[in-house]
Amino acid sequence: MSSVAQAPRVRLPQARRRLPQWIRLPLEWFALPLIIIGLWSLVSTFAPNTRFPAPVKIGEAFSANWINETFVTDVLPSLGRLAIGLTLAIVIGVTLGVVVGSSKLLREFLEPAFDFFRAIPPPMVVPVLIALLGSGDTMKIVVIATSMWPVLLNTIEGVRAVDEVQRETARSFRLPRRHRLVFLILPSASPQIMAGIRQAMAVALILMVISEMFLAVPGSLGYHIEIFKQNYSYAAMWSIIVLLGLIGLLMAVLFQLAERTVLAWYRGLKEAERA
Amino acid sequence: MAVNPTLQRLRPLLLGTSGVLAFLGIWEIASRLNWVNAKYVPPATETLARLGGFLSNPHYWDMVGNTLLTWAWGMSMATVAGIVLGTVIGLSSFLRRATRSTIDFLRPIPSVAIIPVAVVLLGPNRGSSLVIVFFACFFVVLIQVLYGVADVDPVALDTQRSFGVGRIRRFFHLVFPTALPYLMTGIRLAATVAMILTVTGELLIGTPGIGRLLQERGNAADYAGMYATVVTAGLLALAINVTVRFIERRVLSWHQSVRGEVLV
Amino acid sequence: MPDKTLLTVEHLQKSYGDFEALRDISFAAGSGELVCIVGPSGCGKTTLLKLIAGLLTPSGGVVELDGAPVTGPRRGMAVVFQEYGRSLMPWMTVRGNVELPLRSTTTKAIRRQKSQAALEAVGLDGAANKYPWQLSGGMQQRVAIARAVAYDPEILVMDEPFAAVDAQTRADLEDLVRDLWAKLSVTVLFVTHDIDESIYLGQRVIVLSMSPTVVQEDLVIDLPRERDQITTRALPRFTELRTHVYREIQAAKRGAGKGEL
Repeated sequence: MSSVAQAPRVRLPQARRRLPQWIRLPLEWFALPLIIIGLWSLVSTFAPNTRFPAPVKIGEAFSANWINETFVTDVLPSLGRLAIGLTLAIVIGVTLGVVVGSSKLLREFLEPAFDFFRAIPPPMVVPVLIALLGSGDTMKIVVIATSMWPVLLNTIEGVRAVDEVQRETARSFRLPRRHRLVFLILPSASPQIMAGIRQAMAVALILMVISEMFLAVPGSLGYHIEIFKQNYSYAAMWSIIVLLGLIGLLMAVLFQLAERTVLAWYRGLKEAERA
Repeated sequence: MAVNPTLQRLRPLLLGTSGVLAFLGIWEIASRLNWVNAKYVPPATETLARLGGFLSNPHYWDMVGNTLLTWAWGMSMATVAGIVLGTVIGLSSFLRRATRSTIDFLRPIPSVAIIPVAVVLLGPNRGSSLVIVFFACFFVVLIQVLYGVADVDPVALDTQRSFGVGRIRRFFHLVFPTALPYLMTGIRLAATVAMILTVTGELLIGTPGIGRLLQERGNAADYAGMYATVVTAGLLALAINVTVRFIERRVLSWHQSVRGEVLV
Repeated sequence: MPDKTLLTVEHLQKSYGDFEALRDISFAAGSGELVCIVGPSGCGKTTLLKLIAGLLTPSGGVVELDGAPVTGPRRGMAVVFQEYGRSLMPWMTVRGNVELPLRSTTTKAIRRQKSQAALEAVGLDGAANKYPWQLSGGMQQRVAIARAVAYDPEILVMDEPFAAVDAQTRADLEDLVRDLWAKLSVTVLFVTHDIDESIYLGQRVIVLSMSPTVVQEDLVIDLPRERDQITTRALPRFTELRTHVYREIQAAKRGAGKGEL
């Protein structure tokens, strides 16, 4: 051994041997989940607890409850209302946001009131809206649409922050109003708007479940949740977590796809700036 | 044409206040003139009066206190767990990759889905509420801490490590300062999420708090009371938001980070 | 001398509250002229330019383009801003940016033609499908110039366009401006703080004083029409003019009046 004992050990990052990608990636994806499921199955075989059914039982409950016509009669309508409510939230939020964000006067006038409305925890409005609108689809859609506040406030902020030089450029070239909106304001504000939409999606999902669990009416996810509770169908209750997790995952994936397209330029710009 | 500079500075405040007043005014008129069904939407003044009445009602403060308690407990547990796990996972590239899929699947699960299981396991009380508050906030904080730790300059880390700088000192002098802004963002977001889930728990599980108060008022057909409770919720959430932002600014002011806001 | 006056600025004045930025600016630019405006830092060059472009309204005096007063941005005027990075839209390609001002007035086919011609004229026809942030600073400014050129303006107004660009690139861009000016016979109003640049480019140089700003001098540049970076800048006459303008600006900074040297 050399006597250069005091020199710091320099680690060469490239020198590590790594498994080839096609082995490594699936391993990373599935290792931990499979370990968890495996351990759970093991424990529930030797120390069964009705409240923590074996993963297999949960899987059975999942297919028994959801992979049949219930899906069409109960889950799809819920998802449909979610989609409609969210669309409303986005459309109203962006439209109103553009109008308010473009006028300093309107902004200063309305922003405090909006900030207050946004602060109200969305679930609080559910009982109020039920009292006002009954328990039908309208109520549920309106409830989901109250997730518009993040979209609205983010749009206002995004529109306000449009670069002054870009605004002047658009003016100097006499861009007509509609072109300024489509080619300047909306694209410039799109990062903030997308961030607002992401927040709205999370809230909308919670609201969908709450609005349906509150008054469990057949034809909704919430109805089933109530039934399971009343019947103490534990495996089914766990299967709900799986179902809603999948729905949440689907929404997240769809959003990421949309973001990737809409904000490709933004990512490129930020990378170029960081370089 | 010189504009009074004091007026200029006060303009946002004046406009904002008149905006709120205008809203209250429209509410009052709409109710009194029966543009909306006055039975279900009592006038603003009546609501505010009811709110005033609440302020001297111990039951009201009991409920508010319960909400704050649930909120605070859930937030603290989630923050601590998020920091610990976030740091441990974030500092190890292996752990980061291994847990990625699990986190990405668990994260979008809406906390509400866990309510039935929580109630069945822990009963319809604060414990169940805390479970759902914790679940939601934990992931918020965890993700932010992971971002923060990922932002640590790997060259600096390696350099410190190879020069024998101890783990603890490495953490405090390098990892913690880098991740701090992200952590503050996480806490700010988690504060809002915690409030949402606390109220949700009160509505669906029946834990004491303003959510339950809302239902009580609803059952008594006390619409003014319902709206007063909603206003309370808003004010509470605003107060929390303002406080958290204040703390965030203070904590980060002596932090020489020139980092821009991470769009979340 | 050009036979037609395109732009007249008469007793232009601009104040912000109590602060008088521009006191009395008067000059004219003929059709096809290349006029440079130069002055000490803070003399309001950009303010003057924005007033001419119709982006600001004057407190007094008038700007006339083609005989009609300028009350807002005019069809015949195209502006190239100093901050090219913030003037181009990062969500559009280079071609998209160049075509944007034309969207409301021309068909797609004609737009294509014009943008293609403009990009070729500035030497960027290969970068048409790239994004602005993928290009260097000099190239981005060329895109801004192409955008202005494709607009077919009567007068091209440039606000210190090369201030934020390195010297090497600046020389290339200066020659580009002269080329385009010669090829397109467009009137050019070029604001700069760089004395050498103003003399190299201009047929006339207007020297501004400090705030409250007036025209310190309206100087004719009697250098040959054909210019290049090496020979023209080595001419004795260039040095004379340069020294003269330099002294004028020093005098302006000291607060001396017109013609006092």
